[in-house]
Amino acid sequence: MSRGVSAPIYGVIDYLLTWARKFSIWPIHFVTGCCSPEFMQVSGSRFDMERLGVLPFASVRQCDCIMVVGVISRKMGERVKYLYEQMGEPKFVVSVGACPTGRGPFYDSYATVAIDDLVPVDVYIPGCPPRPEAIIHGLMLLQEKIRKECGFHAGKE
Amino acid sequence: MDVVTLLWLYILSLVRWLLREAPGLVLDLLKGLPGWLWDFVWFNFKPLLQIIVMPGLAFILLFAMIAVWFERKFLARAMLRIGPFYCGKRSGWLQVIADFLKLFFKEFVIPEDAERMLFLASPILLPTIPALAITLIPFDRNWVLFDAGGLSLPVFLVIAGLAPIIPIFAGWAANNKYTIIGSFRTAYLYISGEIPLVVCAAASALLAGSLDLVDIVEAQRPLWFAVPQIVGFLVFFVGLILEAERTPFDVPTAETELVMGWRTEFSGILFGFTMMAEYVSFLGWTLLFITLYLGGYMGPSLFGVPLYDHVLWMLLKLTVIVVVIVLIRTVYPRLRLDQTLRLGWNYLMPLALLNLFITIALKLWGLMP
Repeated sequence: MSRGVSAPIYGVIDYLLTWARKFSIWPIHFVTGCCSPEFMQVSGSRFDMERLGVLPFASVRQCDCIMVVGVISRKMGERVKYLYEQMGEPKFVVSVGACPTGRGPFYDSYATVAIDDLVPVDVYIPGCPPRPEAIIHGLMLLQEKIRKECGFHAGKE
Repeated sequence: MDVVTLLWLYILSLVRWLLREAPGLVLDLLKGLPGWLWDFVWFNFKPLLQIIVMPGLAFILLFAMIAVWFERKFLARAMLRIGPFYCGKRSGWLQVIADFLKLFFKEFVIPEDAERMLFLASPILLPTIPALAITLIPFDRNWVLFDAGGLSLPVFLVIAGLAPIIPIFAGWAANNKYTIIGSFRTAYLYISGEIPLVVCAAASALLAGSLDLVDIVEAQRPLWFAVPQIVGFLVFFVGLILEAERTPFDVPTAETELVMGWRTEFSGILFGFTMMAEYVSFLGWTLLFITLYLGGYMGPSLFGVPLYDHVLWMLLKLTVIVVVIVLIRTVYPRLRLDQTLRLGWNYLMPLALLNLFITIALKLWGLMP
């Protein structure tokens, strides 16, 4: 904790900033596979992810977070990279399910890649497919990560 | 002494300083300000108040925030969801502030091929032009910010008609195929929607015998224009939803066809401004709708005795219209582009003309004063 003389005001700004980022994660669905029905459930009426301020958007420019749902082939991997590079700076990647995390049932295929070979991943959600509760839990873990690491002084504590 | 006592002493001495010394210091500071500033504030107190509070900055920003919050919560309840919940206690009332803060501190990406000046200027112009139109709306008989010399209705229509040019430029400036398609759709939509609106407004002005919005409101003293002009009332209502690009007609930002329409390339706070612009233009047209058809700032007259005129009546009517429009958004799906254009040209336009002829007949035969 070496923050110099004006530590309290930085603390307040950090708190506000991380609070705002934590409660307005706008994800884009990168859906290539059949985990997507589980993911649709999450924005549905039973597991309402808008409670956490998570509001899905269509264009990647407005989003903070890519939810990679489903198996990523080598061709789609390029698209994930493009999308990640098109996003504005505080940006996160959530890998939903076994396929993007570790190639899942297609582990021995020549055409699939794991997502962490392409872009830095913040939260891995296990399951094949993961239940909606697991996806909500993953989003809450992402919120916790943002709260700890996403202020002005990220990584200095 | 222990720490708590010290803290209490510190707080008490601070309070004593605030009570004894601080007022004198503040007065000295105020005396130090130049005299012309005081004269300016003294002689322009009312317009300054209007610019900052009522039809101006605070009102528009508060409306945008409350409308966004209400829309998200209402949509969620209609879908049997809860909506924003953990951000602000249960009601999620801090959600809009969190979104705004996040957008404000987010990087905004300017595409390489974009026309930089227009791309950066258009999100600022977008909410400004409808906000300029709002200055013409009478919120009370003596509470009009900008006196257009008895021509406030045409001036409103001119300024509000300038607004759709900005999305077209914004879509062109971003240099992306989705934004260009979206901006052309905006152009189609505005042409089909704005002409019936202008014809309806002309019929209202004809019935009142004046182009001044205050006179139009005063002419509704015996009877709101929604009753003799029921056709124009409905046409204007549909037209205002069409004009504000609200959901049954949000063809320019159709998320399933064009990515985000002409908003596709805007990120960070630029996107925040474009979303605010939607609500500001919606607010402007709704206020004009209330002024033309629902008696503006007047209370409802019971048996010929009008109730007390107040700004609160205007806000009450605004609330009701906003609730109805959000309800329409929850209930109806989006129309296709050709369906929207057919609605505009084949139904709204002839009905608006019919409304104009009915008004002329009423005036000719002297049925309305």
